[in-house]
Amino acid sequence: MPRKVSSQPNDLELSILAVLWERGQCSARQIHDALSDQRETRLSSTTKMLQVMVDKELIARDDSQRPILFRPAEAAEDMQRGIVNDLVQRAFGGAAEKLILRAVESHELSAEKLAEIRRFISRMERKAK
Amino acid sequence: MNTFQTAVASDLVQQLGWTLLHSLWQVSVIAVVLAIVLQLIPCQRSNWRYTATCLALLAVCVFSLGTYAFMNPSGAPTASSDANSSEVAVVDSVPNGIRHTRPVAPTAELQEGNLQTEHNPVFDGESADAANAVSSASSIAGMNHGDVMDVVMPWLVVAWFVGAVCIAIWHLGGLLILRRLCRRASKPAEAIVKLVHDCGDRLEVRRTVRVLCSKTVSSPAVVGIWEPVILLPAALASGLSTHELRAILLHELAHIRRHDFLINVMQAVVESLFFYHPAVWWISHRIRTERENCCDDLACDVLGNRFDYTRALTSVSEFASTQTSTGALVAASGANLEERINRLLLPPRCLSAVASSALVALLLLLTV
Repeated sequence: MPRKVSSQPNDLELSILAVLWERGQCSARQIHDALSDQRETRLSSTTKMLQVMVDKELIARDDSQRPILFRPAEAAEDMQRGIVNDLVQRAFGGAAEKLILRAVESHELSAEKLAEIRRFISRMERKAK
Repeated sequence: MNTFQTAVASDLVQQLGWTLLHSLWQVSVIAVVLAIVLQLIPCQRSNWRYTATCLALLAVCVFSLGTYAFMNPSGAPTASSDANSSEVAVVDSVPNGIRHTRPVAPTAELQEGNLQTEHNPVFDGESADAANAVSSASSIAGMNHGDVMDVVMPWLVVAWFVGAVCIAIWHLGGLLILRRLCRRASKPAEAIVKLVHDCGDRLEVRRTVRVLCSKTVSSPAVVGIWEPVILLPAALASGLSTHELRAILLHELAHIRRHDFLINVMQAVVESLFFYHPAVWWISHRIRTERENCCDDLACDVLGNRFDYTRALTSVSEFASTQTSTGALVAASGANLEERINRLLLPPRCLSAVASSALVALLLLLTV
């Protein structure tokens, strides 16, 4: 299932992922120590970021032992390919949409609108009979 | 050889530049004429409207080609000094139609369709003089354009070229995305393949059509220039009745029968070349709208029942609107559902006799 655009990792998340790709599983403290070389941050904010990443399914959490370990959800190549694919989709998706011949458009149609259209069709059919 | 090359390059640049500048008013006129014509053709005659819009886009290309061919080097200021030495006489200016050449090899100075280089010597001294007079007269006129154009034109042409290449690459990227879409799609159920072939027979589609199921499209679609493919949303078959599925497949097969994807790609080429003029995008958009109407009409005729067809369209739209959350291809590229259904079901809007005759009069005025 292709990852949604909004759940692509941002810069900070990418640095955390880089640490994990390099070292395999790490605890929050280990990740924080690796990060503190690059940026000033508190352990609490790192932990919060890690939780956000777990929710976004960028990393997985192993609760079976203490300390809690985190590992990347995807291998580096897969994630990088996913990022490139998303970029390509964003750049050229508009062209693809223009070239493809679709039966209907994907407007968000509310249920009321659809019901109204169906009623209209039935009305015209009755008139024609 | 170097000065010859720069002379050639600057002539080419001047011709291209002037062609581009002339296209600005030409396309505008074509667009206005098309708008009037579309008002006159009733909306039920989708084929006529589609043909008119396609002709308009074709006219844009033909006009520009004609402008480019019509320009001769002495029309451009930088060539004024070179015109006498390297110009080859225009065939039309020679009364008895004999072609003749100058000693300097002007292969690069060839104007499309106007000139021929041959190795025959000059037959008629009078025609040579006439040609000389023509070229010197026009080169004098050319000098009035001044040096501003000399400086501006190369930048103009370069800017256009860069823009055209960028838009062309954009379109190519879109084609590659579509190809990747097809590669990732899976085979559908046997029943669907059979249904597609049945509908194809009823529409008399002669080409081999592939059918694929895709998780990324939200509505049935057609891709492919030489090997047409119908892409169906993976869950669609279970969401529609067979009759509704047949209706929508007829619409897609109508696209295939009319070679619509190829024409769409050709539109993309024209859009790349004339990207700078908004009217070109408008005309292209109208072609897409009218194309959908043509396929609606074709599918309705074969299906036999407009109401079943419009109900199928509504069901597919309902399905498509539930799919938008998966980040599938989403865009508006044609008429929306209500407009299409109104066009199919409502009686034709008639222009009043006064209004239509007024429009005809206006059109005649413009052409005179």
